[in-house]
Amino acid sequence: MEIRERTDGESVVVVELSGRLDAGSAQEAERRLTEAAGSARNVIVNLGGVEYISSAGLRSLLVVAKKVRQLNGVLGLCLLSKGVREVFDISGFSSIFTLYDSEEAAKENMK
Amino acid sequence: MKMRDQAKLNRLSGFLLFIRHAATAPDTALSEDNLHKVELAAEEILVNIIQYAYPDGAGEIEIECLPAEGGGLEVSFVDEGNPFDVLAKEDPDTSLPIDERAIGGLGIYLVKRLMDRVSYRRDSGKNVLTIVKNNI
Repeated sequence: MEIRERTDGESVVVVELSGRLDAGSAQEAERRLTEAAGSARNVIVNLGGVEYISSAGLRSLLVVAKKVRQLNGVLGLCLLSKGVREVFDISGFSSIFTLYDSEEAAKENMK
Repeated sequence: MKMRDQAKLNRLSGFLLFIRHAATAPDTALSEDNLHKVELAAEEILVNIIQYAYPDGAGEIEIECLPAEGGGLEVSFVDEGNPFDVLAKEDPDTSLPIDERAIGGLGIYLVKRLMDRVSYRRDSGKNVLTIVKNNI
């Protein structure tokens, strides 16, 4: 799993994940995303490069979402692949997260 | 095809690779989409066994892959841990809002939803969980 971060102004941090978000990588992703949530109020997670997500990955995203809410920020997820989207749909995550087609669309909603 | 290894998280990728080989064998030949689902179900089951089957320490997992009746792949996961029927657990409520959603509990639910058949049996001191993905 690769994790890259970019800040966009003072209030938005974009975290790009790629590879597999599974039992082997979920803890590291959770740690980095939680740090990102502490550094900027709003977090965009770009999942464009993630081809696989398991319940360990879902759990990490839920932990981060709860954290961002505590800090009164907004968490947006964008560019979900077909496989990831299917897992989101089954687990009900499509309705608890705000999903976007692009980073720009996510940013627009955070203004 | 059978394989056996320690129930440890660092052995997970070895188990998954074995299943991938079985799933792409000529007599099974799952589609990429179905293979992806089997791989996800297998990860959930293996992680569950690794985390809960052997609370006192070391143990092993055996997996057996067979061509499924009617086409597709059947995988059985065998452990010698405490008797535990994961299928008896209640499904999580996936309609709850974010603040009320519990952290975790989704793994076995995903297995049930993604596979065509899932069954559990206790057999001579072993837990045997079997999944089937048909080639449709």
